[in-house]
Amino acid sequence: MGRPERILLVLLLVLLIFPPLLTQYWERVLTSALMISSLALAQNILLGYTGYPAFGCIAFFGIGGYTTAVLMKNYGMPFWVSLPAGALFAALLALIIAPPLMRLKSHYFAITTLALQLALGEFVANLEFTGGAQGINLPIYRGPGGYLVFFYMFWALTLFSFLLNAYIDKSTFGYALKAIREDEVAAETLGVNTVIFKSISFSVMALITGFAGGIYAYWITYIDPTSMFDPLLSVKVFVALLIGGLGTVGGPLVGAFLLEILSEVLWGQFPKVHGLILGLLIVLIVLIIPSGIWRR
Amino acid sequence: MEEMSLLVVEEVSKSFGGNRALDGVSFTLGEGEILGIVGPNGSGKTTLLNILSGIVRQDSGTVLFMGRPIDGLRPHLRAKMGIGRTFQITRIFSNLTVLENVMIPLHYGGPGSDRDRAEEILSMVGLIEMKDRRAGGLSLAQRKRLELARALALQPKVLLLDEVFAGLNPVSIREILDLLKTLHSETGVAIILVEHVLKALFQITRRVIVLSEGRIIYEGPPEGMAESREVVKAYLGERYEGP
Amino acid sequence: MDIIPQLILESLLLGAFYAFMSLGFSLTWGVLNIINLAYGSYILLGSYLAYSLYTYLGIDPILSLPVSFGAGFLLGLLTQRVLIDRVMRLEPFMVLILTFGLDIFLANLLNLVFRADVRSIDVPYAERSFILGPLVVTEVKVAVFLLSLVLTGSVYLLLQRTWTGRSIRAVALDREGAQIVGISPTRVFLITSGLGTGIALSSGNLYGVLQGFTPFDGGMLTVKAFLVSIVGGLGRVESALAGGLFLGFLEVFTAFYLGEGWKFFASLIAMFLFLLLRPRGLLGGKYYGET
Repeated sequence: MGRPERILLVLLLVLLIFPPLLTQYWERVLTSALMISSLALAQNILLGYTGYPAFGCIAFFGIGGYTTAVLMKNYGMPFWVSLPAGALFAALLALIIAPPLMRLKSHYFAITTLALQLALGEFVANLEFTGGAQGINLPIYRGPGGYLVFFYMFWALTLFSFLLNAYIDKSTFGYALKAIREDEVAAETLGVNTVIFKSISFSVMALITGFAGGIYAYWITYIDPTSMFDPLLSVKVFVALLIGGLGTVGGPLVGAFLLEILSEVLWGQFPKVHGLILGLLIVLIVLIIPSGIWRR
Repeated sequence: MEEMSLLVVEEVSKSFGGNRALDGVSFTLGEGEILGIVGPNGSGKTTLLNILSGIVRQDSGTVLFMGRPIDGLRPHLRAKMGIGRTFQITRIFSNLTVLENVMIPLHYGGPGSDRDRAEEILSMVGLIEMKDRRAGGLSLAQRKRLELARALALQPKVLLLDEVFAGLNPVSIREILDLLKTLHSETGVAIILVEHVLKALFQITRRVIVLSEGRIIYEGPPEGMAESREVVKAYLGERYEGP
Repeated sequence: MDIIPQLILESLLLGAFYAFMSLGFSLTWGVLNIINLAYGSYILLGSYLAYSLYTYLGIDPILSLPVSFGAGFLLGLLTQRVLIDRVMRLEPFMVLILTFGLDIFLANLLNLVFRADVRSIDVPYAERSFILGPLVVTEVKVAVFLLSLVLTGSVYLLLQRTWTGRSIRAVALDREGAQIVGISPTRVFLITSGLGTGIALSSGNLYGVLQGFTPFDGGMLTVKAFLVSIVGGLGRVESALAGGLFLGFLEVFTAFYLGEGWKFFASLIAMFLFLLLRPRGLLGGKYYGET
């Protein structure tokens, strides 16, 4: 880890002592900034290091969230079992579809994952045990720590993802992913089993994204297909990554916080036109800083 | 008894769409041998290398490596068995450092991560001062050396070199030629050179195969090429443009 | 009475419309190698334009087709110049993000002006129908069907018979080659973008006559255009017709046998499977660039 990354890590650790001092509003903003951070860091492993843009990454957010919710609501399982079960299910599914899916590259891959995300949303909306289009009401969390628990969970997920990114940046495992990103054919002729490594990368992305979905579901207590498979959330993850810089350890974290805080401020100022501004913001970011602010 | 063949190619054919790229090609390569493969553009030379390294699967025929068929094996497994290759249009990992470019095949296809070994290989190909540079910034001649270094990291038994001399100036050609000779005498690695620059080729190999429209039309010493009417016909108007 | 003939008729009528609707998407993808996620919102812009002209000035949506086409053509030129041209050299997924941003912007703009209520263009002939043997034929659907065929045919003639069309096809097949014979890709991109967006907006007129719409239907329409393009293969009129019919049949039969709720799911899963298994389409149309 370089010096800027270490500073970022310290800031992340400092964030841990903040919450009790925060107003409810800022607690919510920071919690959702941490959620976007973990999603962006997860996508960074796949896109930034392996070179595959899963535009429909939120498919796994939805799978994680819905599995957690269904296990809790329909089978009365505790959250601490449902959450990892949901994330593992997302990761397993990713591992299975990765080999055929990852024969596609670039925007074909991106769009195929997006189709999967939207299809899953429609699928869930048509099933009975997922509550159909009405969605599922989860029990409200009343344990120790109150809603700060969700802040801490997203914080832990972000820390884990951050350290994982730092590990990939410097390890031989990371070498395999970067080789695939740079030139998949060359990587294969130099001994890298590309199918295995890109599948692992995809699956790790899905695991973290699935965890985020499960925590989110319990946090907002009410989920429906539209909110759990929302393409807007996918694009937010990508914009956060773009702002920060692809394939860097610190970029996704910085990008996610900037995007969340920026949009919060804008929402507060112009509640009526926030969609308009978000659209404009995305266009401008692609035009102005396509390579991000954090240097590789 | 006959010396054991490292590589045996038997009746290999391959078509792309309706286009026959290789048509029943057979030849063998002995241990430590240097074989030149020449032929006009589109004669199937690169397709042949792609089949040997596993990037392309042949329609029919068999390839034996060290006595066992390798037809179903993916490229990364062939790399581990000791088949190393370079590309006509270089495929280096541009955003990684020169050293990292060599560390990857060392770790995944070769004997294991070993920084000293990587530096040793880079010294051998003359890129050691560049080791921490971004590979994307290298010149063409340096890229070709880097590709060679990466292939060497696999500890190969055979090197498949796709037009290593193409686009280089006479000095660079000389240097790479010397490098190949040194490598060959020190490690005994067998080499298949697909080449356009015939003059350079003739200085290093005693046996060539000439491909034309996917078939072998000549096999033998380079000196015999000019006497083969088929070769002259295939090459009409395409004499060597070497140094 | 057997329902199948009626379903087939509905599929054919709808399919021809989908073919025309998707032509612009397929063209810009095939020629510019750009997947425009704002395409559905372009269609809706046309629907709302036709709606406004009809509601406030009493102009029939069929008569205002040229207006929508003209407005779309200009919009296409503008977005190409100001936005797309600048990012075409970057990673293709950047264009996805950019056009997604544009889509969000347009949807929210429409929402701001027209609000989220379902609108429809209630032309007086909307409900008329006649009986033909075992079939019930809705007049407006037949009108849309015929117009779609005529317009699709015109695009076909434009691409085949005019020099502009030939240069568009040349750039689609081989960008560098076209450049060598003196065709400027930048100019062709500009014209294609204008043409594609013009087609999108004018198909919006027909869409608005066929059914009600809200500002947020763009995503669904983009998916439809995408599916139509990928089934047949890109950038060719024949392929769009094949894709349009496929989607027509898929929607009508899914809706009848499984229920309306599964209609969009069927399109999406078909799109997913096509991309995964037959990324070159059934007719093997040419894709730009990569594999």
